[in-house]
Amino acid sequence: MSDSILTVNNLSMAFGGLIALDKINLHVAPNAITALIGPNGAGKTTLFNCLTGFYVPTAGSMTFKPAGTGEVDLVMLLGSGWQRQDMYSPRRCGRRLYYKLFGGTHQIVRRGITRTFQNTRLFMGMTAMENLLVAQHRMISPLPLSGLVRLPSYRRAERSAIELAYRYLDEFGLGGVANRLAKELPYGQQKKLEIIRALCTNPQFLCLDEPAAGLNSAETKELAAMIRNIKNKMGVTIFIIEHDMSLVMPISDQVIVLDSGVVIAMGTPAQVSKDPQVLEAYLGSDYDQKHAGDDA
Amino acid sequence: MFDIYVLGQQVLNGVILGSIYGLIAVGYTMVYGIVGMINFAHGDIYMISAYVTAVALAVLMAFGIDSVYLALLLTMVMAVIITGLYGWAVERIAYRPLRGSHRLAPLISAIGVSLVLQNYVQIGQGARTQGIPTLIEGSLSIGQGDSIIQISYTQLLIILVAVASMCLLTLVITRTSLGRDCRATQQDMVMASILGVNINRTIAWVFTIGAMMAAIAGVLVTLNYGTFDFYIGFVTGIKAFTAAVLGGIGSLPGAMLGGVLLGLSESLFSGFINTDYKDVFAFAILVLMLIFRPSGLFGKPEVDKV
Repeated sequence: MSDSILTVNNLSMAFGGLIALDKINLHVAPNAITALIGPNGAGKTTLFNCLTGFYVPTAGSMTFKPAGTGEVDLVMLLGSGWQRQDMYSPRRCGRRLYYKLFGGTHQIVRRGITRTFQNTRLFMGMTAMENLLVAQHRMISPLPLSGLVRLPSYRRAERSAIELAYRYLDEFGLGGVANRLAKELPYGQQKKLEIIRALCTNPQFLCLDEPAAGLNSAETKELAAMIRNIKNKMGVTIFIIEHDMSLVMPISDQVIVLDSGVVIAMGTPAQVSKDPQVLEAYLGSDYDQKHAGDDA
Repeated sequence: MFDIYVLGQQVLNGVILGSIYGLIAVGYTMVYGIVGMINFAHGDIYMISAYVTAVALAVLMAFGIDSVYLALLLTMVMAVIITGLYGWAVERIAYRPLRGSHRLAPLISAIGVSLVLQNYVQIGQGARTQGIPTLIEGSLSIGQGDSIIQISYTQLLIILVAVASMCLLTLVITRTSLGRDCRATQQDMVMASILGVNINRTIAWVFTIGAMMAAIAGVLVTLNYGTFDFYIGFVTGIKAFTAAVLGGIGSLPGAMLGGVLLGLSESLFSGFINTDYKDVFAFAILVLMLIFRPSGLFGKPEVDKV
């Protein structure tokens, strides 16, 4: 599939003897909302951690292809792993060396992939505005000390970063909290602020790890609208882990089901919710027999 | 016996000594804040700066720069840059390769760097106490005869430069993107890197900035006392560390205030009670602090990072 923004090929992740992901293959379509669901311990968060450069996968590849640019090998960006084909192409070899020296998690976000965490990880001792500015730093300061002498280029970049932050805050109804410390905000606003912070990195691909956890039903509804809004207005591809089916099923275009480190189903919400393997994974293996009994 | 002039003089001396401790303590506290470990090579970074000062002055003299103030300015710049490079190298050699390994490993490698620096200076420059001539003569005084408070121009310079560099550092940390990166990395390193902050570069800057502050202290102390040897980093380093703990390690204003408090109490103790036991007194304060308020004046209670 050449039209997918993310292609995961035979991805495996093992922690010692424990295989968390076992030769995963999946595609994520651009400008869509893709949900990743599965029982606890299925490997959903592990997949996110691999995608965002948190873990270096044991084997396999992840190719990211945003609109208008070439393909990027995400594992290479982390500065790890040599492959045999590196030896045959000087260009590949050079890039591999470059990322060995300057690679790291921050390179992934530079390509437009970012994420939020299940529990909020705001910088609690900083104001909401500062949280949003940190996310935009790679756009602000090529030279670390340019902020000290306040070069005109730095001042201009910082002003536009502040403007963008205010625009997002207003758009998602947090206009009044810019100068309050993150730890003083109520939980619902912290969750929102975290998503806004992720948006401030100017992502093409946003991974949300259980954004509805701990929210009440009104807040969940608001969140669903926010996520749709992000996709439609900003053209951001969204990859979401969520247990709350009432949030996931209506908004997603594609659903991927993971169980025990293996992809067991992939398709539209309607297809997936009828898939026998999915029902089995969620409801237990005796579901079919019971069902058979009901029919008889 | 009690004399208001003696008190005034001791307070003044205390503030001067304390601002030196504060400048060095800032390096300890910043490094602790960001990597959660004590940089035991920091005292020796300060010692390096004293030697760089002497060498830089000699070089400038050789080039025929006569103006004392120009020479001092250039010396300060050279000391800050060269010592900053040492600080960067300490991080690169002793800390970065060991990040993510056992918690105590970088501590030991930092002690190793400290020994290397001391011995390298001893071999390169000799073990004898070295000195520079007095560059700034003269002093201000209030009162006459025995009732007198005196401050030399060098001491005045120490206070001015120390206050200025503290203000500059505060500006860098609170107002610039580098400062925000540092604070974000300190609070949640993983999250900062996911938002695109280059963690390696930020940590390297923290070590470099700490070393630069120690370099300023080194230049000022050398100007004031005129003598130094390869071993001065040890005691001063430990004192500055005490100041950082006193103020609450990890807290920048805490380190500055802790430095001044330690300097004041040491100076008052030696002025009114006993000079020989001033170090004992300083460390006794550390012990009491650790017993009754282990998180220091400004520190937060230890929270496990998840």
